[in-house]
Amino acid sequence: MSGGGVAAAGEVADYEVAELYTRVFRVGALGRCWRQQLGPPDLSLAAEAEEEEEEAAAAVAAELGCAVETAAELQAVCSVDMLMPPDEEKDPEVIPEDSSLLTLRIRKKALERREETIIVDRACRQETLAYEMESHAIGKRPDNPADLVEEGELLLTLNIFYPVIFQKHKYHKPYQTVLVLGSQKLTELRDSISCVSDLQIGGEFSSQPDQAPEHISKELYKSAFFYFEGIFYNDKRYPECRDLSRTVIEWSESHDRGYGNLQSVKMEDYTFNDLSLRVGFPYLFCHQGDCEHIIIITDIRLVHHDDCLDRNLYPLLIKKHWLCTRKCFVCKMYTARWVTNKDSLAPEDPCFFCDVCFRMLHYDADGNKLGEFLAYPYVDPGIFN
Amino acid sequence: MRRGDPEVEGEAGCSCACGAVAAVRDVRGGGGMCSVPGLKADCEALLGAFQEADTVRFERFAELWRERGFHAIFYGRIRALERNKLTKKTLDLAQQYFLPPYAFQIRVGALYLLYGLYSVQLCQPKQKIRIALKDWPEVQRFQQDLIESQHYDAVYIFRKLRVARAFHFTAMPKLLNYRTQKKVQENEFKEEFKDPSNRVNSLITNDVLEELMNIHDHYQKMKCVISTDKSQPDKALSLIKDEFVVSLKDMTLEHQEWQQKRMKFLNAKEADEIPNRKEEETSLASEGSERANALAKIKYRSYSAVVEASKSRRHRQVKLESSDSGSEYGKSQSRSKKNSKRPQAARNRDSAEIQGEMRMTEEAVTRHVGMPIITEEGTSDEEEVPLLKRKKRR
Repeated sequence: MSGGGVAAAGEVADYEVAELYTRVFRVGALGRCWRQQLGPPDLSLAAEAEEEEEEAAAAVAAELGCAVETAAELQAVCSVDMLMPPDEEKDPEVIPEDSSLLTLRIRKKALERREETIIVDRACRQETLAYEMESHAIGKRPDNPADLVEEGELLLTLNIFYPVIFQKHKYHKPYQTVLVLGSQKLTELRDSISCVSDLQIGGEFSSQPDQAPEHISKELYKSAFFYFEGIFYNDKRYPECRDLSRTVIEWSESHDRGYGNLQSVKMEDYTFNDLSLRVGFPYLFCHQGDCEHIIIITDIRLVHHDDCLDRNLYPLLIKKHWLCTRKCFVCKMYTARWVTNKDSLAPEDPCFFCDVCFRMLHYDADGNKLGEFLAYPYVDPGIFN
Repeated sequence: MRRGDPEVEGEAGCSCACGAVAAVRDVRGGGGMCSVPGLKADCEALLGAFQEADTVRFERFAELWRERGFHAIFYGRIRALERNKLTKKTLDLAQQYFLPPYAFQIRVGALYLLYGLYSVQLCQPKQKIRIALKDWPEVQRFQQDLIESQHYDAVYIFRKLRVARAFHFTAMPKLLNYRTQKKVQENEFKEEFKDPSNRVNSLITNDVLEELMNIHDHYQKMKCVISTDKSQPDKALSLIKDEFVVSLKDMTLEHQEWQQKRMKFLNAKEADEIPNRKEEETSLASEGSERANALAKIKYRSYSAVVEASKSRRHRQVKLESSDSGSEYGKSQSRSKKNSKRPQAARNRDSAEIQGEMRMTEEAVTRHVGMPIITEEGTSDEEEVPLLKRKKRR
């Protein structure tokens, strides 16, 4: 049986603060350690056979070091059928009447209560969406075998928190959950993070409403960085990218602030396997100069044959917080695309309008501006729903 | 460009049964979520009954499982999203009993429990059992123990799970989401499930006491040699309490007896008299009295020939039964008894590991501390004094 000592203690992840976060370790080392400990059948990503045939008793006997008859006996004694009641009708929807399990009694009561209080018991759209996101990519295989995820690849689960836009988000922070492969570059994650601040359009457009959205912030301000364990990974792929972390590094070096050596490197040179980090510890992603997202790596594990196995789908979004979009003040139907300030025609300040209502109210048939107002293109944070 | 904080802001306020806003907030992934109500009690009842049955046979476990109707644990009109969450939490709870510091029997029971839960779950595709890298050596050791003890059913079941790729090989056992506000659920281990964690006894073992005795004797002898009166040390040289080894041993014994009394008291307090309990108590008592005997023997060592201290497991030799079908059962029975009475597993460590380390420390003492001998002429030589008669350890 494989399994000598695990690699040096510093490489095995363990809690630094119990139940909260771990010590620093190299991601790639974790993958290596696991692959050393396991054999090909454990790491295999082959699809499961439709019907799991019972292995020949001889094979079992050989591995266990027992007689073939014992192996055959084991297969009978330890089969799943031994766990099922002999002749009962097994309907998973119905909780057995006389169950001795506390879990089932409590669940039954809860279900009965639900039946009494809720008229229509079905999944709401948020639940459907959440379930879909979680499971839509399960087991997906690519058409092109070159895109297949490799065996022994690491899968990281990251929680990327939304920037605090609404005050209440300070207390219950919404986040999205993304899966990335260990061999993917940091830049791939950076490109996949969709943040509303990337779509902002700067400028006041009341006088020229048709010229509005040409340059969104994403194209104008391309700089970004990740911060993991004392190292800033800056996006330097484009000439416009600047080192946003320089300010922080200079600040830290100006006096002895106790932050040790902060370094700055290029994001595109690193994959997740190259990083040293902790599980469960908050890190930072910053873009647009001041839009900051907290990132927490919640889990790292070996890829499994039931996971999504198509490389092109990674980084894979599996969970997103639903934000209600703000609707137009006039029609209350469409998502707001414009916001006005100091608007003499509007009942409140600021006031939100969809495109059609905005033009109908503020401009005449010839396109002349009516009344005094300031108008800005508006991107609702819920736009990614 | 940031818009001001609006008055009107809605979250997922749906009126349907998904638990509305609470669900959106609670589906925050990760460990430390609210647990499944009643599940811990049910699992502990099952594992407790398995422990009392004093066996590690899967047949017995399956009986207990069927009695309780555990196959229905996931039943009920639950929608897919909720069911995934529920199953994950269930497997996570069961997985905790699979690792130290739980007693051997409980861990085998947990393995069977995991097998059962994994097989009867209704999620498609099945939720997996998480194993962290830091726990893997322990799991391997456990497997090795099972193979050596010929508990073939346990080995087979673990292998079956592995062949079915029922495991996720992870960095940490739970998802970590930096939840500083949420009170970390203290998983209060049932005292009975753990091996009585006896730190005093694990520190002051028979061997340690023997060694102390040896060193003490040697020290006394050397003091005599350099004193004027060869039969006893000078008064000026009496710097320590001469009887300290004996009093140490007494204290340890006292502590152990106290612990046993306490265990008995707790057991008696809890449930009604179950016939099995008496058996457990007497076997515990007999273990205790054996240790008492062992330590008492050390006390009288100076007056009699060295007696090999009896280890608590010595009486439980592997007995070979005569009949065929019974032989495996008999073997594993006695072997399992042997294993379940594994002494002094300190928290989070296998006793074998401790014994191994103790052995190493002993060896280190023997090899590196060359006890100087003062000869009559007054010159001191460096000489290896065999401090410890090597005890065969099983």
